[in-house]
Amino acid sequence: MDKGYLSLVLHAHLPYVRHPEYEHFLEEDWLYEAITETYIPLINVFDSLINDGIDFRITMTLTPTLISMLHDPLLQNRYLRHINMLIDLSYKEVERTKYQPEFHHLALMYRDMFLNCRYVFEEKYGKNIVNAFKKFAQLGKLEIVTCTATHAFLPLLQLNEQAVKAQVYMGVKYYTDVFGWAPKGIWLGECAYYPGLDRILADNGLRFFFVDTHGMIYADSRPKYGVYAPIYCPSGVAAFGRDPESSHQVWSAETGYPGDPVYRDFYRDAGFDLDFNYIAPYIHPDGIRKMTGVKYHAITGKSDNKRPYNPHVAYEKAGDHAANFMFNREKQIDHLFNVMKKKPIVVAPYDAELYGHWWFEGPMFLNHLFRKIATMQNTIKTTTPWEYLRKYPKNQMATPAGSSWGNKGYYEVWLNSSNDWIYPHLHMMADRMVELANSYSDPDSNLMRALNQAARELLLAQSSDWPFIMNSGTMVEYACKRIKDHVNRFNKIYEGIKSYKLDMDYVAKCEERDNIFPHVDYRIYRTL
Amino acid sequence: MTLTKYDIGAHTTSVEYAYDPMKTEELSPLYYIDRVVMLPIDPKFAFAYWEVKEDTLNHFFQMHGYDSKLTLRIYDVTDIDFDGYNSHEWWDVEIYNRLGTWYLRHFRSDRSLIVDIGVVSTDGNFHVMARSKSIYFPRDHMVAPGKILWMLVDEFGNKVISEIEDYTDEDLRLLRKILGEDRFKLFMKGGLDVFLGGSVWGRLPIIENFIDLAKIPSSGKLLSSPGSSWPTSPGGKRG
Repeated sequence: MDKGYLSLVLHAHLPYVRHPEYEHFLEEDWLYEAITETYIPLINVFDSLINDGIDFRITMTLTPTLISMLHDPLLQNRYLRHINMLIDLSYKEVERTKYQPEFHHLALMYRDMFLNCRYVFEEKYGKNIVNAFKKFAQLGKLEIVTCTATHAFLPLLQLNEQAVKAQVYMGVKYYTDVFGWAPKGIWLGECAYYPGLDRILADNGLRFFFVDTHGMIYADSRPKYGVYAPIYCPSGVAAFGRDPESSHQVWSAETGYPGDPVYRDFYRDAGFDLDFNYIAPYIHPDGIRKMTGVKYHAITGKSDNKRPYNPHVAYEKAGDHAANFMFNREKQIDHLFNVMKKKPIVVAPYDAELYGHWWFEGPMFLNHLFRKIATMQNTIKTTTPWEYLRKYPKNQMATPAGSSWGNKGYYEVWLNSSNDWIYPHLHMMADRMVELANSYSDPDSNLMRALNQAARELLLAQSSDWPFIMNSGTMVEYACKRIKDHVNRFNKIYEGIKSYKLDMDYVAKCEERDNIFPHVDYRIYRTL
Repeated sequence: MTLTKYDIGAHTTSVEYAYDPMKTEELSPLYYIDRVVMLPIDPKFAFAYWEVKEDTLNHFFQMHGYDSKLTLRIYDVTDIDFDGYNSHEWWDVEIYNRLGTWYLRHFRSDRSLIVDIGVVSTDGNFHVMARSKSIYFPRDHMVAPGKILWMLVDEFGNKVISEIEDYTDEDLRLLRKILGEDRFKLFMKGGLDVFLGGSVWGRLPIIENFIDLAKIPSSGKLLSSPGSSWPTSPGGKRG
């Protein structure tokens, strides 16, 4: 007999990075790597489960910025160029390693993997892999939830409520336009909640969201079942709490599965290891070494002396880890069922890019896990939040506490001395956007274009990724540039409108570069 | 540095090598307005920024004396419709520039704060230049036991509050079993180690001085008492 539910949630997100002004742009690799190492491997896992008749449920966020990039013809064609380049490299690697048996089979593995990526991307899904996820959703296996328009960190933008409403509204509208149905749930950027936000979610037809563990436990009424049943905010929107145990097993840097010595090492990469003249065509054209995704070593240990990667051993290990994860969930759910006297739901959210990009074997782990759950036990059933709510519509009423899933549980990652300088600008932009929206109700076509572009610049500046990157210390200059560019572009458009000196050539340049949300309507910022 | 999904191994960014015809310009920190804004960092830690126009500053010094001190006044306005005078308590931070930022520690979570920027004149009166919006700081502890309300929400979003029951000792025992002993204690204690070892502390040595000073209890002065010590002075307590 099933004694409870497991709801795996993969949050797939990347900020909007698209630079038509350059032939090659390093930061666009974030998308290309995620397609190759995470999104396509996940698609392959889901397809194989369906082909083999394995019943499973999983939830994913596909954020509006990510979908926008996956839909974009320029980026689609650049991804094809990228994967073709990797295929070319992998053929050369097959040749180069032919007398190195410990590496040759890996070169063959990469060749086959890259060829498969091109097939899945180009032939199977017509360059738009969002269609794959849509298919899984239509088959009832995958629940896709939306996110705010640009993954904004809403607790730090709450001063201007209309700006928060616009982020939520655009997230719902864009999802609905893409999929043809409205989302039931939302992943709030960085799982960041503040009391009152749920009312805005309810106004946009959303029925559930997620909070971190302490957001549930510190709710304004003690949650009877901890994080193992959702709570309803007074608005009627349900909050699902993150299970700390299952998160820790996968996330933990010290004890988590991804750090196992037999798994593939993330850092050792052909882009750095091979002779410069040999690898030059496959790194940045300006000679900047970067990762290629061709990695030959296992984590091994903390020293730089790494053993060659053995994918067969790693595959077996992923199976062991899946069995261990399932065993722990069985014990956990059995215990919870016995004490709660009702079926618990264990919600386990992760960054999707953890699976495949950081943890190469992550998709294999999921493949093993779903197969084992379907065939080797009777305690756990996988579900999605909406499926659960339809089955269990009665829950405790409480408002969660403000929280996020960032380091130490609140807002510090996104507001500290490395990134605090952005907030005076973001708040001023939001106030000015509302001022513009309230001032112009019947603009001519040029003014309409300028107002809509101002809205795009504001939305793009609000991505939580920029302060996160500033805090993390990786690619900081790029995050600073993005904030400065969007603020400057917004302010120039604002000043042009206010002074009746609108430069439409400038607006056109901004439209070309920052082309997200082609149908955005600046009136989402109206308060009057 | 920590491993993130933005790490592609390159020891540079496009910003450093790429020529952009729409080149990135530095941002002016000035918007020529009077404003002060407070943001929550965690349950007991706040960030404030402000800008006061030069004209405003000159006007206030002219009106209230050149010995007046530029000051942030922080009010605890939890559950209050604030009228400028009815806060639970307040405290002052003397500042020295018309444009700036400050990190502020306070003492309790689950509170709403407002900050004013203004001048304290030599007669002890505070004159407001700009006021922030009220900001709520998250709760970092479990609430006291109370009523449990159950709600039924149907597929179409219709809501019915179906039952009300008391939170009992049995419920607390259940929560202990659900969370496990260690985690239960951690949550009951309210101890998620939010403050200690925080990265903000590491990066801003000045804050450590501030913490020491901030340990001074925030009571004992009347509402009308002027603040004077640097960088913060406990203010008044009401009610």
